Amino acid sequence: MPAVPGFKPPIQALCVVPQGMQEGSELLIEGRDLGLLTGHPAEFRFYSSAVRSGDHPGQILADAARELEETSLLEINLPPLPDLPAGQVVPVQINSVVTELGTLELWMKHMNSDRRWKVEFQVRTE
Amino acid sequence: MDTIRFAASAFSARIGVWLTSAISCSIRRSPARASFAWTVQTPPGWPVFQAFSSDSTSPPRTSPTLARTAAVTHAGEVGMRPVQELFRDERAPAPVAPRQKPPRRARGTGIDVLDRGVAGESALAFPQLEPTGRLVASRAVARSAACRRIVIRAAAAAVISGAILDNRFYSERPLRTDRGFFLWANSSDAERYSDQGRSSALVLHCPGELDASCAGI
Repeated sequence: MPAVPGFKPPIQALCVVPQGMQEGSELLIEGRDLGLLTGHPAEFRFYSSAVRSGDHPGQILADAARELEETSLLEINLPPLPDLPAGQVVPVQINSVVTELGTLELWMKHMNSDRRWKVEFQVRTE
Repeated sequence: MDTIRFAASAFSARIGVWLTSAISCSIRRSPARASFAWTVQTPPGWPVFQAFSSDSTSPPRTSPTLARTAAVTHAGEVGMRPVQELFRDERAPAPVAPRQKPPRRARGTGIDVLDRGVAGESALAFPQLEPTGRLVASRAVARSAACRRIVIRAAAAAVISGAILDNRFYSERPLRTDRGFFLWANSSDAERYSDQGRSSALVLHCPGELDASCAGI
């Protein structure tokens, strides 16, 4: 979609943890090519829903602001790869882990190396 | 008071000795005051016969069954008040309040008589006595109601303990997330920036774009 002044583009959201995922388990989001912005401040905006039970990992929702609730926001500057300039988007594979402690770990593994990044936040609502 | 002693002797054939035992008793001269030595004296503090005022301020009668179940009521009310209220029988008499000491009863009468409201007279009277048939019937009703309450409490305790066991069973199961979680991931530069001008960390790319951007890696 081209940039249109004054037009607020819809926010797309990627399903990383389907509803009812067992704590202590993990899943690999496959079949989707994802890029990670490194070396530049960027946001991880997390959304959640308690009513969408049929989503599967890797599913894209076209309008997150309308269908989901924004849960948390994490602004982070991920360290870039040594041989890449800042602000480079690198291909990654996402591995989401829900621990027994109730935290969601998002592991983003660089497709062409062993470099990994991890973001983590609390998902247990009690 | 004269004391008469009887001597009783008996020959024990087994052991071949005479056994002699003395039995003494005391006899009072005045028949009204006479009491035998083997008569169990009533302690002075025992209100064997008590007079009652016949006004209507006397408390309701409490049967021994109800008095016994008062402890059960108190013990049962600790953890299962909601269930108790669900199963409360409106026809059953109100349970004794928890931690309330049951009123002291007159002893030796064989009838449950509360000693509150004593007027202080020495006349022998049992006011508010019911006819035997009604008394037995009311006791039977109270007893059956108490039994019914005990059964209900036992059932409620079983339900609660089952729920506790169930909870423990569930708590040993692995928990599941009650929500699904999503991450902002936009697919083009136009969608890449939020309304605050911040950039999305996760970008959806077509394979061709990824290949092109990763060509220099």
